[in-house]
Amino acid sequence: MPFFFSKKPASVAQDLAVTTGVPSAEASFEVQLLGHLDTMYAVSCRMTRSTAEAEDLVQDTIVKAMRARDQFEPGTNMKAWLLRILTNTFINRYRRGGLEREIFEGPDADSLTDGWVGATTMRAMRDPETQALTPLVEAEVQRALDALPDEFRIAVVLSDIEELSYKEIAEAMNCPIGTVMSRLHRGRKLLQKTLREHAEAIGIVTPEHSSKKHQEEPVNLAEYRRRKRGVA
Amino acid sequence: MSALKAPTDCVLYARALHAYVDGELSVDHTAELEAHVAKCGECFEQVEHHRAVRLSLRRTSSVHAAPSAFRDRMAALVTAEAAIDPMDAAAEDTAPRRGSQWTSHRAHGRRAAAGGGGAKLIPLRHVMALAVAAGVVFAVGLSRVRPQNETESGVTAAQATSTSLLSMSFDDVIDDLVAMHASPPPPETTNPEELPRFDTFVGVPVRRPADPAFKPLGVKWDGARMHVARGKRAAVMFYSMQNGHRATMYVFDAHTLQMQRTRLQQRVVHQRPVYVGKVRGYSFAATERAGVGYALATDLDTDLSANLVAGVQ
Repeated sequence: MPFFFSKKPASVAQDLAVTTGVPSAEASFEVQLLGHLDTMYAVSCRMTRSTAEAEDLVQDTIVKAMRARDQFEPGTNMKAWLLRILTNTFINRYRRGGLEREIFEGPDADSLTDGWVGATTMRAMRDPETQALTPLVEAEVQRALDALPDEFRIAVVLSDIEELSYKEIAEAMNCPIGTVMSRLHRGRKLLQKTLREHAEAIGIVTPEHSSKKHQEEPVNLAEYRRRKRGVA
Repeated sequence: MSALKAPTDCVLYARALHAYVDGELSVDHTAELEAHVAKCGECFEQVEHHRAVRLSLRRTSSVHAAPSAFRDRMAALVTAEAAIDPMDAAAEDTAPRRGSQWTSHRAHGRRAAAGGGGAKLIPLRHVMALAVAAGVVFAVGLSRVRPQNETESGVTAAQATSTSLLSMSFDDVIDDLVAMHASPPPPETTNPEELPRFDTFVGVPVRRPADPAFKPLGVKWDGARMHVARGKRAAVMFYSMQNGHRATMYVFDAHTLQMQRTRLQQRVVHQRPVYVGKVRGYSFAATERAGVGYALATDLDTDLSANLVAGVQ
């Protein structure tokens, strides 16, 4: 169903910047590569949750990128290409067992179709001035993101922070686009849940009864796996 | 996926909401979804909330700027990798366990192996420790060049205690340059007008040196590239000349790379101090002019090399 996904404006703009942008057009591969260092480092920190590991991961990525530089097609999105190498390296090296296992131990106990956080709660968590979350909740965002299982966190980071397209994320994570959507969906839902709990704890919002009920239900792994197969 | 084909209520729209906020929804679906969002307060809040979370996520990510020491190391890594032909690298990349965390420095590897050091791969994390170790390796290398009457341990101790990092590095750089001259990587540019973009990298103006001594030899400029030798940045120029001779010129900031303390011999050519020597059979000559360092490796004889580098203007 490729027709369903139109290319994301940010990625298009990026492609244009690479092909027609003033500084990057003439810049050598090496200079462009180093230009993405902050991005690679930020994503690495997110993935590994450790600055030392993040440096190792970036270094590995750079060596791989340099050795595969003949395979990079000039004019295509170098950031997406680099993040693909980085993500693959992360999954292969640092999570040799793969991402699958962690997800079953993960905190996702809700069913796929259950309700989201209520509209009132969401409005209360938002800062009307900045259109971001209120600073108190915002501080919690980093912790909540770090708490996500790998496969959700990677999807959310690549999409929300690095603005890769679903197709680019699918290539980076070596999975179908449907799986990317599923991981984003679940990852964001978990984020919301964590943030809502935090907001409740610090009294920004009042607890919602219906959602509390869900948290008390035990994780049904068999059910989870069955659903997961159906989705992916 | 059927949710996208027949969305009937907010729950079924939930997945499409993500695609919408991510800008991944096709035009038709976007129109349909926006019509729904316009009249559904829950879904409207969902979209707003999702945008708010995304914005907050992006804010937290700005905390993770790469530290500058790490940035320098990666710049050096990229330059070192750039000097290696990708085909070569594939063959050399044999470190089995940590794989590419180790980067191969061919010149160093050769030297270390020759001196009995053994280690062929350098972990970049330990560059500083290596700089000190380089003194020892250098001393071993020295024993190959100098007559054997100088005791190896004596030289090693002297190097380790009295030589500062700054001054010991010039001899290492020489080895690096000669290694590069022996198997030159392809130039990054062959257009002399592009040389000024090396300026910020090297820290001094990088131009093709005018040199009257070049003319009679039929010296031709073949291009240039950026290079990091032991953390010292330099522009490298490749020359070819009559009878198939080659020359490689380093242009660097003379303040970051002082050549006073060196195993090279010092002499005066054209009223200028020039350091000359033979390294691995190649002749090597270096000088400084107006704060810019010039070092030349050639397969010509030492006097001629000294003359060439002394003629740089």
